[in-house]
Amino acid sequence: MINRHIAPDITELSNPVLLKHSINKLANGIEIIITNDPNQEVFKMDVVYNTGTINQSKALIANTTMNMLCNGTTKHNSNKIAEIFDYYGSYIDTNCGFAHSELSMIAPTKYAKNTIPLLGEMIQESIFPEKEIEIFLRNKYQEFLLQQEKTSYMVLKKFSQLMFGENNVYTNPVNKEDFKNISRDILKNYYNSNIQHSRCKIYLSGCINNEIIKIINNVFSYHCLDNSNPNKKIVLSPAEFGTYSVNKKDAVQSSIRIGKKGVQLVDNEYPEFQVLNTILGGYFGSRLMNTIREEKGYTYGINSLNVSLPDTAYWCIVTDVDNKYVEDTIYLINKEIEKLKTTLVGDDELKNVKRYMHGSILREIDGVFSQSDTLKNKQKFGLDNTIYNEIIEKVKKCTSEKLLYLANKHLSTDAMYIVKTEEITE
Amino acid sequence: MIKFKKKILDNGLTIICNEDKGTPFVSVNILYKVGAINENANKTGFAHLFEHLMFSGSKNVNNFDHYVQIAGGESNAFTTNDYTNYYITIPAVNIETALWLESDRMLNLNIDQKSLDVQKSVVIEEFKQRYLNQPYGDIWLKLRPLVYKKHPYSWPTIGKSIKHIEDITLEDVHSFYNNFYSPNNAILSISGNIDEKKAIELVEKWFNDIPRSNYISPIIPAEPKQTEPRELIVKDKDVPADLIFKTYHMGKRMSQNFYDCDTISDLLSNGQSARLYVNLIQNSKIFSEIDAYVTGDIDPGLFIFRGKLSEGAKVEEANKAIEREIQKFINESISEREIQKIKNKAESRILFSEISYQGKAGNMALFEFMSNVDMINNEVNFYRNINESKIRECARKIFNKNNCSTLLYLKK
Repeated sequence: MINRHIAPDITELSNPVLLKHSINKLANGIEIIITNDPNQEVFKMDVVYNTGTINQSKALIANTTMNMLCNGTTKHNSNKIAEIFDYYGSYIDTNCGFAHSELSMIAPTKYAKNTIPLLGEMIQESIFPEKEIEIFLRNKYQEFLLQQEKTSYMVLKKFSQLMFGENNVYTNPVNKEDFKNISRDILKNYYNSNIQHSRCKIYLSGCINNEIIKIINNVFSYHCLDNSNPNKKIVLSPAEFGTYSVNKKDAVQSSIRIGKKGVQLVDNEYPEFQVLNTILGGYFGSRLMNTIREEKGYTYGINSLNVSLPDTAYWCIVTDVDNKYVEDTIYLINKEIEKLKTTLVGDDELKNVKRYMHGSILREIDGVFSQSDTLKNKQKFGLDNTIYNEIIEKVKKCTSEKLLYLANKHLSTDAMYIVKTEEITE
Repeated sequence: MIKFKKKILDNGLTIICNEDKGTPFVSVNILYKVGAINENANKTGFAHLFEHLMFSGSKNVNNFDHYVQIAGGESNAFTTNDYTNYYITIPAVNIETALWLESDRMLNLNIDQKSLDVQKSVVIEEFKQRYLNQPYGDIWLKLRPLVYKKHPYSWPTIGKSIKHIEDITLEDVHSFYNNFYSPNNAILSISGNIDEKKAIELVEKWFNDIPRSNYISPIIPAEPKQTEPRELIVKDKDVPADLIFKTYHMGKRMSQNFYDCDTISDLLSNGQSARLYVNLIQNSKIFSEIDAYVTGDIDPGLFIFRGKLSEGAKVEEANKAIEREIQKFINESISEREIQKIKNKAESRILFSEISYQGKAGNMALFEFMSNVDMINNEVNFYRNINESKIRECARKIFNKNNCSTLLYLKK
């Protein structure tokens, strides 16, 4: 019988292997960032624009515009567009953030010539059919109504309003009336100035051959203007710290969100703050998971997260618990935070978290598609994937004293927003 | 095409390994052939609760996650009606940590009253969070017993009720563990940066000495043929829109019928060029969402239509509209291009699924469980076999009103 008393030796983790990317520039200034892996049979293409909800004059414009790209061009109607991508076993998707918007495709490399030109057509020749706009908004409205019923969404919304200000762009303010105020002209205007002939960046990953490069050259060499939109300063008007409730009829559980301003990716102390966050609630073995889930059984899950936005960041703890556990849960969360501010994190725990974080970074950048994705996201902050080496180095060197200092600097429980749902019965 | 090596140990453990040099990691995946269908109808939710307990430590492992994490790994699991699946993704250099952990909890799981009590309350909160506190969250709790009268698919993996979870005893847990968590009831698959021969040797090293179980699990009762239409109306919930479900019994996962039905659901509802989208959302505007899909259960499963009504649309009208689309589908022809589209899509879906080593490890175990791991590379043939007359024949057989259960989930 094998001896299971002794755990197998663990080999220290290595530094990540960063894949090389190359940059092609088209004559019109469009940058193509290529991470090639000839062992794949498929490729991914992300077309990224410097525009998003920050740049819209009314709610819903930016997101609706991105969706409409798939819904009709001068040459193909929405059904035909969907049919062609389907026929060539390819998937398209759109995404709209605060400061960036994307049109993405994943396709077998052998069908590049059948799919990329259509993608280009959607960017340059979309026609925004009234009928499609109406369908999209009608269905979006149903989703909107459903969301309003979810306790987790209700506290998220309230929390954002407290953090950033009632109608701040970061709260994604959308009201019932907004769905009636979107016209074809408004969308076309936004499209003309922010997408159609704007300068995008194109990220290519997977099996990228010369044919693909040639097709992209042909399709994307149109005249284009620089749309590096002037940095719009987002003015925040945070509310007073404290405890806030939102009412929900007949809810069996309460959603809780506790948080404050976070530490942004570009901040010098970001890696160490991530260590602190991970210890508190950033992984399955975290202190909050141990106390609130594994010891008390109050919840299915509790997490803390630190999210970077274009020019700020927020940090928060989220969980759902039975109504009767709300007060004790908040008490225990506060206790865990206080502990981080007064007691040094032990050597073993710190060592474990460092290893865990190292492993999870390696996982995050594993493979050609992931690395192209992380490169894209880091470039939005003016960085690239080498930041991962720096993060790993700083995480490795992080001390308990540094964590104590950061906990006192950032985690003052008097300076936080505590938001929870409160059940009301009819 | 996935290359792999397979071996069955003397104690009955099936091992399947695939080398993938594109990653520094390996995924160690264990599928146990036990799911909610193996539960007693009066003690449901058991298999899923047990999955939680598998993380409570074993004889030589006081804290399972701790060891995964310090080796740079990550671990999770899920329970379905048919099986329970555990996986650890870990740097390939530390694969033995994963094998040690998995072998120790297969051999000697620690279960005490304290961890049982805590996991019971965690699962009860999960029940509330996912099934009670979400709009429409309890649909499957209502739909399953309407559709299945004998077969244990009549309850969801979370269980029929919170009461069932509360009533679980330590004794129940022990006998469940002894019966089902044995090498001859498991498939261990590995994909990642390790030589296949080496991987098999290491699995043998850690699992060879685990004894098999002699438990023979009772035969699962088959669902009798449905002979009349069924309907259930739920109207006491605060939801923003009416919802309609129409379900039809179909074949099991590893039958040509499954692939025919999968194709029908694709033609009807996959993407914005599909029939239901064009006719019921774009043109008639009755629905804001409409889907047709198959459950893919191992035993005979369900073909499901799910529609969310637009504001003002009448539910009778919606029901008729779906039935009309079904009739049209049976009577109208399917073009060559549509058939080709289905084949191209199946091919690329398989291609995409081979990108990730975690996906490969999971799929190898699943195919071995369903029939034989070789099927993973032959599945595309089922799609190549598809032709118009077979599809129409299949639709005619399945979409029969006596085979249909309708659930109407209406707003107050």
